[in-house]
Amino acid sequence: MRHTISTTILSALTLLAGSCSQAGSSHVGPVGGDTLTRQAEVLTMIDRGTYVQADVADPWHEGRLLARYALVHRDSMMPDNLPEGATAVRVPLERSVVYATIHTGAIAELGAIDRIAAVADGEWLTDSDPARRLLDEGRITNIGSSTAPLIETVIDLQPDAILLSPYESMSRGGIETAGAKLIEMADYMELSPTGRAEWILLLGYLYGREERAREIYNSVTDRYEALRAAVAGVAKRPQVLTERLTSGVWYVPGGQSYMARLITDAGGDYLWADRTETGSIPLDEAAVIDRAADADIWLVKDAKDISRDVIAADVPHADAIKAWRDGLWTCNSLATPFYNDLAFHPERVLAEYIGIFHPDTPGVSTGRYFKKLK
Amino acid sequence: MTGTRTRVSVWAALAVLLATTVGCLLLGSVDIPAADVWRALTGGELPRESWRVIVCETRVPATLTAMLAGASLAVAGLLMQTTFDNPLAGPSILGISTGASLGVAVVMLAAGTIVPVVTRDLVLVGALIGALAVMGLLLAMSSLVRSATMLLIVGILIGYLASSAIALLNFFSSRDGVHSYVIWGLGNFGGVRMADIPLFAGANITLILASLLCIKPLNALLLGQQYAESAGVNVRLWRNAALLISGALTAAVTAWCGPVGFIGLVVPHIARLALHTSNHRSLLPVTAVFGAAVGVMCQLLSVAPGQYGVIPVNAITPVIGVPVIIYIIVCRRSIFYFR
Repeated sequence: MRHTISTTILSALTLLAGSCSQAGSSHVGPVGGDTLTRQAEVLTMIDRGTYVQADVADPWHEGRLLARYALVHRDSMMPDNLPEGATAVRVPLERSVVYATIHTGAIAELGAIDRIAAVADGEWLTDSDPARRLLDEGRITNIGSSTAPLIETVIDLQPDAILLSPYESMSRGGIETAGAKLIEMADYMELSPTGRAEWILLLGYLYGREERAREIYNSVTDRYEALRAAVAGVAKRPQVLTERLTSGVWYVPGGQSYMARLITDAGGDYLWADRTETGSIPLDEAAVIDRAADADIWLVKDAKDISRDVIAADVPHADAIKAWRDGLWTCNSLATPFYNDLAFHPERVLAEYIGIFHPDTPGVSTGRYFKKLK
Repeated sequence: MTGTRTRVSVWAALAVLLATTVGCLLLGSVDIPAADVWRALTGGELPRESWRVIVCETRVPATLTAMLAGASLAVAGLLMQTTFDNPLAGPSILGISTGASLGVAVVMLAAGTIVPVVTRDLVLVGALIGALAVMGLLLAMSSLVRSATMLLIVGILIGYLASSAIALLNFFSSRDGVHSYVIWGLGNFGGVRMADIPLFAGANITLILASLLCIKPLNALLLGQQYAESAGVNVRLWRNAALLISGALTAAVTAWCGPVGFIGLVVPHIARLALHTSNHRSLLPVTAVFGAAVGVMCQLLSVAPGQYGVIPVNAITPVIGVPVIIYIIVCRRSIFYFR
């Protein structure tokens, strides 16, 4: 009896203390929801019912955030339980400025290209980019370089939101005065190809194309996983070298980088897979040849068509690399959708890499990005 | 006669300043009618509210920044040229702007792995720390090195050291980081927000006013270090004061606008040629006015392409500065302050 009374009193006191603290607090906060993202590590999206929370993590500090957004439908009342520090963004966006051309392709695929009012670096849009035609027709404005945009033009467009990469923070100038929400598109910080592709869900929710985004993403991951599984058990993995010497430096992707993972998933043996860097590693020619003398495949990308003569001029001892003779592939990154596909359709890049590394694999081909130099 | 030349020069500079200021308010990547620019400035009704933001939050602060930066760099250049008795001395020669560039390089190229986003404020802090660190080093060296020429050489060497550190940071950086750093290095008067103008203006105006205290000692130094000492001027003290003021002016401008070249080197010469005197009593304030006019002129040329883009400031200043320097070098014998 005494025990029951003391337990009851204790419980009542606990409840009382809890309700007092709740009544005293002005911020209730979110109360659970379905996590929408699966593979992305930098982006986390949670459906909270009255809004969708999108967190962009700080990849250098575990547990810290780069940005937090609360995507609220423009026809709904603004919820009073938004998470602390969240930027409320009314969706779907009606007018947006998109800095990176890789995002315009994805937005076009979602069927929302009419919501783009301006792009940066418009002169670099290729004919294959859907925004190119709209730019030429004057329906989209070019705001100039992404690192030095025409601020006045951005302000005058009165966009709902500006999608830009964190490294472009420096060039924001007076953009904050435009009143638009700044969306940190940190997809390039993802280290896994399917994780980066999952950012299309954020674009889907921003532009009111959630279903289409989910459809695209599921199709991408299904195909990616199927391709990866097809070569997971190959007996022999070709040794793969990438890039070339430029001005005395050979920047090779680090072992934990996005490109290294793609090569490994494609059944290749990436020569610097043992390195833990996630970015590029600057090496000299001797260090590269030391490791890559027996490389079977050499992939070189440039913003133009390049020939053996050009590579030979840059790499004096290219013939010391086995792949120079019968394994050299080049990609004109401006004339092909390589970088656009790399972001949101890595399964296409993977298919091409498999086509290069394991040409006998069914369902793959080459020629979309790379051509073999004879 | 000197008084007349001074008055005419000042009025001419003010006229140029006024004309270029009006030009900067009217021109930009968005075509705003002059009447609407006036309405934006005076709080009138506008067909588009975004125009008020553009005029008041971007054009006005950019123009004011150009004015203040030009005046500051010109005064800093004059102090350097007189203190070191070197007509080719300028704010950048002592390595202070290179120190600021190093601070920015550390923030943009290396600190990106420590902080998630390299913000504008972080770059500002980096630039200030870099510039003030070099200035501190120079002041310390000033107590060890008696000769002004030697101190100048030390400053140049410090600049080389900072440049080598910058090269190293660039080498190990990403393509995006290097590009951002290059863009910063091209100079930009549009990076100061309206809310920051009071701080920027306060710092620069205070330092320019402080430079007026150096007029007498600078005039004495014109006749040589020994003469100045025999006239009772504490040469080392005033050299340090000039170093401090010009260094702080350079640091402030470089931190906010990037390393802007040529204005500090050239404007003191333009002022001397216009006034036909080296007397700092009139030369110093006129240099400040001329510097302001040149700064705003550079900003006007920078935004002149309108919707077609912006020309970086450091692509314009040599166009103005190089012909003046070549004239001075070629006609040196006939220029009064070289005789």
